[in-house]
Amino acid sequence: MIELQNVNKVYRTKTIETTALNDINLSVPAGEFLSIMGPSGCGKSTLLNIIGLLDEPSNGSVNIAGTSVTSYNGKKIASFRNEKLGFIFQSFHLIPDLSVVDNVELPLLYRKVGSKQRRMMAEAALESVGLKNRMSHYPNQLSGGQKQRVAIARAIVGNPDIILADEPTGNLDSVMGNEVMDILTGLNSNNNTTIVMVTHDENMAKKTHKLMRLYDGAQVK
Amino acid sequence: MLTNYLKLAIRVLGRNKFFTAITLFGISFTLAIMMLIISMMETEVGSTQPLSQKDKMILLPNLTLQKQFYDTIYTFDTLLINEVVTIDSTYKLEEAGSNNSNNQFAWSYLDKHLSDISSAKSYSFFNMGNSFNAYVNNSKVEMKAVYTDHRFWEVFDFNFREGFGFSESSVEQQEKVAVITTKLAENYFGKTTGILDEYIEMDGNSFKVMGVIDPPGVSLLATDIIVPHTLQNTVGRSEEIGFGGYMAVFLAEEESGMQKIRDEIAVVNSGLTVHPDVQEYYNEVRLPAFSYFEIYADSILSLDDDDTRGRSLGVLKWIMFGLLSFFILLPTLNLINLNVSRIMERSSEIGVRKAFGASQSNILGQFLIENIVQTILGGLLGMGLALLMIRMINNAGLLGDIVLKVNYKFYLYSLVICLIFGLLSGLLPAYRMSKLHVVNALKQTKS
Repeated sequence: MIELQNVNKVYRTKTIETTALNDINLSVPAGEFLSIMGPSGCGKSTLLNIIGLLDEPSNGSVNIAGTSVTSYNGKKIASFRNEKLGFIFQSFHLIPDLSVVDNVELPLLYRKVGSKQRRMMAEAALESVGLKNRMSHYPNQLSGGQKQRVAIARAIVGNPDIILADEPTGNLDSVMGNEVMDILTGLNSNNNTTIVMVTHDENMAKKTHKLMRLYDGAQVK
Repeated sequence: MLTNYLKLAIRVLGRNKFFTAITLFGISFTLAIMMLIISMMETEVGSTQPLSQKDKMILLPNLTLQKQFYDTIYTFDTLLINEVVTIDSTYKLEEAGSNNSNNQFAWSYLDKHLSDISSAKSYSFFNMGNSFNAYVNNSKVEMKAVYTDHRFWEVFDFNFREGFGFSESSVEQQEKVAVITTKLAENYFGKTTGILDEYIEMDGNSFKVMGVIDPPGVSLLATDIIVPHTLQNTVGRSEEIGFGGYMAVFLAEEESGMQKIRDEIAVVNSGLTVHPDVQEYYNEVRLPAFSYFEIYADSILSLDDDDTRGRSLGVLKWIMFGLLSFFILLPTLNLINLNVSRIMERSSEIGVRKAFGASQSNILGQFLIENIVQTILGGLLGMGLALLMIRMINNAGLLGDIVLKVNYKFYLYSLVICLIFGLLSGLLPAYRMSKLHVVNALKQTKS
């Protein structure tokens, strides 16, 4: 489902060159739940951004869901992301001016889905994370755990093949963190959704199928 | 998608009420000023009564007599040719000065030479700038009188509140009849209706009111009372030369027919000679002909010289364009600044939208719509403000004879200005934000 070959990411300024990722090779089959661990600044998020097509590698090839996306232009990448990928962020990134259900509808907005259909799909996604009763609330009226569940609903509403989660439990206490983790493992086992999760938490990583460790931008074998 | 954007736009406006209030105040005030300018322009150069046909008018404001003097200018030079000093002289003819006399026409002169312009649908000669005072109940009533013919009513479409304009026979029989404005009616009779057949005193004569019109409300036709020209008798020496107080206006069938009228006037002009009494000073007669807009531009810029008068319109257009651009640009820059800082707060939202599939044009569209909603809201407030200002200006008579008008074009142009303002002030910030890299956008703020 996800194939990375010889991926490097180098940030260049006038005076300094920083290697964020060094020769990463990665293969994640469909339905796998992979966690990525490593100290701060080791390139975890950069790697996730490259898998999520939010960032481009300096060199190397990226193949997602059987498509080599290296040659895609901005618009094509946007629609590819919209259909194939779902994102969950550590700090939720909900839009404060939109209600919970409008936040969840967001990916469908760029998919030309009719408004009734959008509402139906968003309700279903919210129901699956147990937040149907909070539909018309606004993000600032929710707890951290609830916010992250809304973010999960938003990530799954478009039925993507892959979910990319960047420290989804990082801002949550252990109870809420476990709740979120349960939803993710449920998604993985019930829907066969491929999940790549960056985490700092060994306990969370243990619940996934496979663990990848990064150190200074390189894979720890 | 559009409903979604509109909903969000309203919600965003409501988020920081103080900020929104300041922004809306700025927008509405700017747009109100621009709407005021539109109203002024529409009143003065738009097609409104009594000048609905102004774009088909050719005006002859004055008669020009002139003479140019030439001088022979000698230049002496000494040259050394074969060691002999030689004197070399050259001469040329240069313009040394000119006599110029500009004045309005005498009725008889116009009647004799310009009453037979066949390509004109109609024409009229009229004398403006006569001011008289009357005393009613111990208070002074000032009236600006126009002396003219019966065709005045064909060329200028006054809005008659009651009665009608005087006829050809009234003019010929020197009937003492008058058409007055509601403003004069109010000042003189204390009412604006039911005054037909009443008498009004002016310049020692008693005129019977036969029509009441709305005040023309434009600077070029400032008048309170209009009477037959045959009642004015000021024949003097200058009248024989052609000078008097009259202007001529010719009305073309269509705008395209204006050139024909100009050509015909030029033919008449070529056959005119200077009156023998003044041939000592002048040797050329000119009949400068202008469109209404040229005359108007000139009355604003006061470029009285005949050579520049035709150019005034072009100059005025540039000045108006410059002023409008200036008025629109400064607040636009300000709003751009405000918008950038406001949108920057939402970089996380832009990041999320992009992550979930929004293209650059989606983001651009969203923020443009938000900005246009904001501008239209400001525009509506501005329109209220502008209408209030127009009412106050008209009531207080701040612009003298000009009465600012509000018609459908005012609303149309105002809407267009709102949209331009919204697009201009929103485009740059929206474009900048739409170019924001998704990873950077997500890093900047957290929600």
